[in-house]
Formats: sequence, C-alpha cells, structure tokens
Amino acid sequence: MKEGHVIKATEGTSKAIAELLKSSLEKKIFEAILVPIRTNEGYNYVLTNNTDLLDKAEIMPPVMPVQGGKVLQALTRHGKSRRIAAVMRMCEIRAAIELSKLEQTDLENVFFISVDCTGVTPLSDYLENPSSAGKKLRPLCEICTSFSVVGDDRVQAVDMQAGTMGVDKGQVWLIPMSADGESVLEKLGIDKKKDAGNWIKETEKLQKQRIAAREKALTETKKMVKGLNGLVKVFSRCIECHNCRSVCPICYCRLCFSDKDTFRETGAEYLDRVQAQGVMKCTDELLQFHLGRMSHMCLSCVSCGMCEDACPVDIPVGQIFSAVAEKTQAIFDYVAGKSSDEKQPLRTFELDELTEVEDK
Amino acid sequence: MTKMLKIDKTVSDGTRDFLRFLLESKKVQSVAVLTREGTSGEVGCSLISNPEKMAEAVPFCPVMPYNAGEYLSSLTSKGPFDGPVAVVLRPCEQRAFVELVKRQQGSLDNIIIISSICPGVYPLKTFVHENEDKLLKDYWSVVADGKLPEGIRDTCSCCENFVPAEADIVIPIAGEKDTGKGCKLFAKTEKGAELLKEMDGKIQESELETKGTEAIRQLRQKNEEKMLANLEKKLSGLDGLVEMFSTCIGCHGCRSVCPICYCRLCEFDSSRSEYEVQKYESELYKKGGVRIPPGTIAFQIGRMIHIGLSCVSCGMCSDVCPADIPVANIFRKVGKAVQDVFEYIPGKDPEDSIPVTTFEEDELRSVED
Repeated sequence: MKEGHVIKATEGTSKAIAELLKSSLEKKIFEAILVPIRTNEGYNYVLTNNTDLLDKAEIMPPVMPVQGGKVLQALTRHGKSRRIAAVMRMCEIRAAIELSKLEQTDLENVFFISVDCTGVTPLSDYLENPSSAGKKLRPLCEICTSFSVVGDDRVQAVDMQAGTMGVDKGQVWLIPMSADGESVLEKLGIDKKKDAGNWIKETEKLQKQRIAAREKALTETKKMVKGLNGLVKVFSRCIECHNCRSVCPICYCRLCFSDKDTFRETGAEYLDRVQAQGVMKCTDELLQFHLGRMSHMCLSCVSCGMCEDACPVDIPVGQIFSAVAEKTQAIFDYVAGKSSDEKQPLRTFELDELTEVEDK
Repeated sequence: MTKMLKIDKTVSDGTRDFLRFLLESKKVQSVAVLTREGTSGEVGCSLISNPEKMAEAVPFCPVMPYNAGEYLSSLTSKGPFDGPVAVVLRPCEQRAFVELVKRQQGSLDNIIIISSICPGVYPLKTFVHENEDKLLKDYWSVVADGKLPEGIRDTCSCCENFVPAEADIVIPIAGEKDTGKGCKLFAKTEKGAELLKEMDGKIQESELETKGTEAIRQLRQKNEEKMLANLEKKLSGLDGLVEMFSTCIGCHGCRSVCPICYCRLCEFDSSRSEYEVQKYESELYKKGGVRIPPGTIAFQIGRMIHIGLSCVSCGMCSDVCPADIPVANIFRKVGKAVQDVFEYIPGKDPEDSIPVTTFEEDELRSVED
C-alpha cells in the first residue's frame, strides 16, 4: 500500500506547495522552479529561484493559457536545463514526454511535481467572467481519465504527486512516485507518513466515473463527425486561422506541411478547376488540413483541449481529436505520454503488425 | 456624376442577378464571392463559374470569415487568372489585396473588382453565438434606414475608408436608404461601364456619395476618436502594453489571419527567436525569474513594425483572438500614426509604393538630431 507524506495546507493547496518549493530552493535541492505565476490579468509559467516570487505562484491556475509541454520545449529544446522542479498538470507532463520522444525537450534534469487536477475553465469563459473559474470546465477536462497518477496508464514521469482527492481538508498528501521523489521528500525533512488508501480509493472511483462519462460523451462526438458529410458539416465553420495547430503542444513543426507551397496552384489552374466543377469552395480543402494534422499527431495527442480553447469559432476540435486519438493509440497499445521508454509507434517497425489491414 | 444602373431588388438579390448576368453573358469566366456551405449554412469564399450556383452566393453577408484579399492572394500568388474574374470585396479586403500585390503576393491581372460602400460586419463570435436570422434582420433593417448597425466590429464602426478606393463597380449600401428595394451599380471605370452594357435596366447619371454617406463618415470618425482616446488611457508606456497583453496566449492567431502578414516563416517562429537554455538561465540569475515562453510584447511590437504601414484595419486579428485582446484597435492606433507620417493610405492606389521600400533623400527630417 502506498504511503503519503502529510503536510498542512490550511491556506490552500497552492500555498502549501509554494512553501514546499521555497524550502526546496533554500535547501538547494533544485536550482530553480518552473511554476505558473499570476501576472496582471493572466497566468504565465515562470522559471524562478526567487522565494518572494513564489508567493505569487498559482500551482493550479483556473485556466491553461499555454500548455506546459510547450513551455518545457521553449526552455530545453536546445539542451538540458540545470536541475529544476516543474509543477504541471498531468496532460502537460504527458505532452512534455511526447515532445522528448520527438527530440523537442530534454527532461533529464526536470523533476515533475503534479497535483490532482480538477480541470481548467475555458479561456473565453474565464476572461468574460473570472468568477466562473472552476464552475465550467473544458469539455475534455470533464471527461479526463488522467487527472492524477491513477490506473494502469498512469504517467510514469511524475516524481511526486500532491494528492488532494479523498484527503482531509487543510491537508495535502505528497506521494513519492520515483526514487528521486523519495529522496527529495527525505531532504525536505517531511517524514510524517500516512496510509494513502483513501486517496487511492477516491481517485480510482473518480476515474471509473470518468471512463463512463468519456465513453458516453465521445459516442456523441463520433456520431457528430460520422462520415465525410459529418466532418464537412462540423468543420465548414473553420476559418483556417490554424490556432488549433499553433497551441497544440504536439504540433512542433516550424513549417507545417499544410503551409507548403506545393498545395498552391496558379490562378489559371484554379480557373480550369472551377470551370470543370462549376463552383470551387474554400471549404473543399478545409478537411485536408484537419485530417492531415490528425494523422500527423493523433498518436501523441494528450487530450489537453488547448485546440478547442483557442478556436475562435467554437468547433469541438479537441473532442474530435481526442476520440480519434483514443482509437489509434489503442490499435498500437500506446498511451501518449505514459512512459518515456515506450517508442512512438510510427517510429518503430515491427514485422508482425497490423496484419488485419492487409489484403486477404 | 457617374454612370449608374438601378435594379429594383434588394442589394443582395440585385447583386446576385448582376453576377449571374456576368457569367451567363460570358463577360467573366468566374466570380469570387461569399457563399453558404450546402449542409451547414456556414459562410465562406467560393469561386463560381456555373450561373445556377449563384443562388448560394451571399455577397454582403455581414461576416468576414477571412479577409478575402488573402483569399485572392492564395488564388493568384503563383500565377494570375488567365481570364476575366469578377471579385466581390469589401473596401478593406480590396485594400489588403492591393497591398499584397505590391509585395508580389498576388496579381490584379484579369480581375474586375466589385465593391460596396460598406456598413461593416459582425464579429465572428457574435455570428457564431447569436441567432443568425435575428442578426441579419436587424442588420438589414438598420442599414435600409441609412444608419450604422449596432454591434459590428470595432474597426467597422470606426472605419473611415468604407468607400472603395479603386473598384470597377461600386454598390452603395452604408448611408443609402432603401437598400431593401433598390440595388444601384455604379460604374467607376471603363471596365465597369462595359460590364453594365446589355444588363436589363436603364443606365443613368448619378452621384455615388450622398448626404447619407457623409453622415456615416462623420459618425465613424467620431467613433474612432472616442475609441483611440479610450485606448490611449490604457496603453500608455511599456507598463500599459504589458498589462494589455498579459492574457496573450501566444497562439499568434492575429498573425495567421492578418492579410498583410504573408511570410511563410515568421521571424518570430524562426530559430532566431529560440533561445539556448543558457540564455534563460542567465536571465534567471539576473532577475530571479524568467517568463517562458518569452517575447509576448516583442512579438506584438515586431509585428506592428512589420505591417503597421500596410494595416488596413479589417479587424480579423481581434476577431480570432482567444483572449479577446483588442488587437485591431491597437494596430489601428499605431497604423494610423505611421501611415500619417508617410501620408500613405494602404491599398488606395496600386501605383503608390510602400514607404519602407522607397528611399527619399529629403524625408523625416523631424526625427534627425
């Protein structure tokens, strides 16, 4: 049975963890901390070694303006950092792991701390009415099954989990998830242990509920995008701003395939085409972008919902991608971001694989 | 006085008739115009050559899913049209296209421009969230009364360039009474006059701009003064900028939809805008904290410098901002300031060269020591 180390959190989880982080800086366990901090009207990831600045830390901000995976990419894309602790949500850590497989992050010196995630509020709702924080959640957060280190597919990169579910009020449980996690807790001098059975029970219970809710919700999504007509109907509102791609932590290409000149024709060629068809709609090529992006990144999709948040015309793009990702990842028995040892399916070759799609 | 043909139908129906006539009479090979998607009813740009398909056209539907100047650029940047094509553009779309052509990102060859005295468009969000039938009804009843609709894009309610600069045919809508009963086609060029020939109806001489146009212009100028004064209060100094962009999520959607930002690879996505981890760490030790990813303000100011002179204030950037930052208003303020310095109105005349691409020895003395 797992044991948790109990710390007091009378001023809330965020404050309690911020104090812990301060202490880790003072004890020189980490050289710096990567954590969301409130800045003016927004929240931003800040890498800091200043304990005063940590007073402004918001461990679990109500919104996700930038995906943490992307933040670690910006920091470590050209080499590993010094030893830092990164406090992130589970889907952000999973994105960082996928990016490391794509050689976009170097996580060697990153110690991951995660907190039981209660989800984030869609950015537009939050900005319109900040008091909506926590009341309305991203649709993908409502059906997230990876909100904590729970179940068989739990994220292995987490070094320390801060448990809040099924935990007495005014307390946070710190559960070491790696040898490094154990040693950090030891160095921090936190030794009050308690059986974490209740936390495990609660997270497993919620996961079960979420699995059912997810299946139900995604069945609806799949119905909506059934067949080419369904897809066209849903995506015809798309204005091709490609915000979904820009904020996607997995879409890391500097120059996207869909922005290539190859897809452009001359004015004369377009006129030939329209003469033959009678009408040539902008929407004709919309699906190519979305289906292309889907085939490129869905094996690594972590269902964070950034794409949906950034869509100016409210296409449920995150739910659609998540539904497809679940299927494709299942085919390869792959869970994006679960383990850094699992190779990305498209980068490995197995002789005896996918025989069911071969010609009989 | 200008040659004008009046069709006794609503501006939308009259324009559809005219476009159909252009295709049927083979005066043009194709028409580029806003249409409704068959199953979902969403609005987007299309090229049409089959006159029957003109039923799907919604030439003045008050929404701008993308700046059609950018759409035309995508159609002609690799090579021009080889036959006449009529394109229906709002004034800011037409100006954006001209700016793109100046940058070798499109070709005006064989293009016939049909534009309007524009009442403006609703923000995309309004169009997505609110009851469309009611919006359209409200819009057209206010427009037919010669007034400015409520709730249109900020840039539209402040737009002073709503009369097309260079178009072959101009259809007055804003400030024009009775757009519900009559569609007036003004031929502003020889090419335009040729198009009107053989079209049913009587050609007469008339003035394009009326008292109504002037009233709308004055109203918009006043709106703009108010908007800029309000913005100035919030935007003063670096602190103001930092505060204003504190909710920016770095999606760069503003850039993606900007018709002027045509670079395939933006400076701010290039390797020059990526840093080694040492750079972050040196900042960290200097300041005690470093925001990652960095460069929110640098991106905004950089983009402002790159496109400010050519900004046509179409408002696309504000429309797509997931953080509701009034990007277009901010760019209007800066754009107007730099455009005034060079007495340059972007897109007004294809012959005007872009100020930063020309050198004049005796220029900008005021900023010298």
